[in-house]
Amino acid sequence: MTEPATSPCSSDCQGYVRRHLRFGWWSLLAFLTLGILLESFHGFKAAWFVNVDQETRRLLWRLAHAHGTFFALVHIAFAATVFLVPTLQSGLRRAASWCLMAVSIVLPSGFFFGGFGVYGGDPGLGIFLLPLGAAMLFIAVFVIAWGATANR
Amino acid sequence: MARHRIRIFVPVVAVALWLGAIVVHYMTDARIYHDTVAARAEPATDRPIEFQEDGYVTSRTCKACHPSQYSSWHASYHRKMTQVATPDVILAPFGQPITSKGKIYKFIKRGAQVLVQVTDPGSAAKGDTEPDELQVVMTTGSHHYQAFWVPTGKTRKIKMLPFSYHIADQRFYDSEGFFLFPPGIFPLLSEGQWNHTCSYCHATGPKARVDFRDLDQMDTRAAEFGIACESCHGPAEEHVRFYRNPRNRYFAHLNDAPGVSIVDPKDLMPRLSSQVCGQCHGITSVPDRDQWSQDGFRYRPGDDLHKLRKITRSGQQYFWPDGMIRVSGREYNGLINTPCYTHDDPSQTMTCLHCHKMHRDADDMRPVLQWADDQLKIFTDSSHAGPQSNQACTQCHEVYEDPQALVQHTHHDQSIESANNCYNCHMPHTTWGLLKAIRSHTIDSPSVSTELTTGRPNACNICHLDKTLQWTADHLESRYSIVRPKLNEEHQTIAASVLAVTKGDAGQRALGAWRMGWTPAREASGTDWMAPFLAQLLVDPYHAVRKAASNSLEKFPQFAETGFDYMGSADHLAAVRRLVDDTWLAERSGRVGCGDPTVLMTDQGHLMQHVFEHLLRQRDNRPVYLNE
Repeated sequence: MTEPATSPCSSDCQGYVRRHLRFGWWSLLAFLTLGILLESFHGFKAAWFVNVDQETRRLLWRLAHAHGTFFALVHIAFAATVFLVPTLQSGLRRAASWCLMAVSIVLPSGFFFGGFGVYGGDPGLGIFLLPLGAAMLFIAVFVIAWGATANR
Repeated sequence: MARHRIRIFVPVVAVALWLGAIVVHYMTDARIYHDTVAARAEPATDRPIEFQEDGYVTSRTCKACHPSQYSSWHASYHRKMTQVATPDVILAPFGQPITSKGKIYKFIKRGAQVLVQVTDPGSAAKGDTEPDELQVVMTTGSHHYQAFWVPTGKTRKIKMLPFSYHIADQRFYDSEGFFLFPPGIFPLLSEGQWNHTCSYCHATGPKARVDFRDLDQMDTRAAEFGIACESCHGPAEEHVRFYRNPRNRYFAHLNDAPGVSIVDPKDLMPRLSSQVCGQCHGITSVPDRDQWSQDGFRYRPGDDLHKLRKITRSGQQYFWPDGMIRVSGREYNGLINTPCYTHDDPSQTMTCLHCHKMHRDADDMRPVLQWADDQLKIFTDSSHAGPQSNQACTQCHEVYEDPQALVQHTHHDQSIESANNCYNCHMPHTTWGLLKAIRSHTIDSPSVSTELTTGRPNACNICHLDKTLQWTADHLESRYSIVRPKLNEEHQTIAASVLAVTKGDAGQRALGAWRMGWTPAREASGTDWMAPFLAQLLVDPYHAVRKAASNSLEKFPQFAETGFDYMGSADHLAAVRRLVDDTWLAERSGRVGCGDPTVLMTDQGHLMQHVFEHLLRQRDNRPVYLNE
């Protein structure tokens, strides 16, 4: 009879894993749905989306879809990282988790709402969410990279 | 230790790269916006080239921030006035033999190049069967017709091929057939014509760079081919540089501020606004030809055009005797003689933009080509909605928004839409170009006296082709208290249109032929008397008159398929004329009681041949050059 394998991941750690897997898969579904919606706009040649003068809106919504989808995958990758690198300090883990959650909302929202109220070639005011999102993303990735590189 | 270094090094490098990119961006000149593909390409040496200087940045730069305006401009014929020839640009069919001036031409594609093969049957008979090949390097036009340019082999000097493509007819004609010039005279085929003349207005920021002491030296360039953004808005380099800063852009967006270092014609004072169009749509000359040739025009949108160029206001080649413009494409000359433009109240001064819209509105439901046709504004909130609605006029003349007031003014039944259209009486078709009549852009009122002194048809008789000047004078007196001038017997007894197409000069005959095909005139005047007059015009010495007559004849079902070629041989012209005459006569035989002496019809419905020939002998044969 063999001993059951014990996970090096603490219950706190497992909480993060579950939370980010849940968030990652559901947001992946949400942003894939947005992608299907955008494709159908193309399919039906919706004038307010495909006309040449709607290029800015089209670009921004594509970016919202692409970033949202990508961040969903990042959440899943983060869950795996937390599970595989149990030495990640609790504080860093909490900060990274919080930043990633925020980024996944703020950045795609910035692109999406920037697609409304477009000023010619410039996005609408929603685009001002982007610097905030970019900063938080930078922090999150930095914290994860820092923690993953820490000495055991 | 190594891991610690990496942890510090990577984020520092990332932030440094980000900051460095911003610094480089701001230190780089606005020229980085230029189309890098075009910049990398080796410039052609045998034709005019695009070359950005003097602050021009091209439409490719404007597109980034103004996609909507770029899109509507891109769909316009202005853009395609001059294009570098590629297979996509050529509207004519490839591989079709074209006979012109005794030679046979054929367009062929070779990669991205367009070539024309030229065979001289005379040389072929001597055993030289290999056709010459010329590269077509540029084209002019894409709306009504397209002309083609080939290198001369002398610097950047180019010349026009002797034929052009008629887009509506989908066939080639000799190029002189597109203009109202006396037969045998066609200066546009001379070498270098594009360089020193067409480039004036068919390119943005042109510099002819012609050495007038040696006309084989032409280093012609333009900021951009075609009439692009900076033709109307001025060179944009400073504007681009300023708005590269997002803070400046969003400040402007949120405050709806006017653009910095750029001209918007709709924000200019009315006269300066119209001058933006007038720089090309007017007949102007520069004070110093050599300076112009080397440095280009000094005028920029927003400047006072009249201070920098001389505006031509009279001359047989372009004007009616009273100074009203007679050729198309020069609408500014018409506008500046209009009371709506010349009065003293700037807030009421009419501009081109009261009727025309250079960028199509998002809610304009017309097909894009319909908008592009004349780029007319569309009015949607009136019972007379449409691009040529009375609302263009009732913006100021509000009283005529009331249908009853309009009917009282026009004295025509409300159901006759064309008779209650402001344009038809006050902007009649009295200018000529592009092988058709075009509305006058001098707004005036019908006057028999003016027709007597200038020969320009009055608006009443442009519709009522079967009526005399006496009839018109009587109506103008009874309805508008306009004093009736003294009229001779011809004007009392013969329809004004008949006199125009028989006795008139070539321009009057062309207009006369055109209006016999104009739907409102045909509805007002009846059509069964017109054929013999149009048949006579099929053998007119002027190509343009023959073309107008054949177009009008095609409106008759029985003459829709005559196979008439207005550039054909004299025998061909005469044969089709006989065919039309015979067909018309055969249809008339046995009909009585359809006489009308004003249009030279006897009671038996036959043409009063002796009167007709008497009028023809009086034809004004002075040479006419309606040089568009």
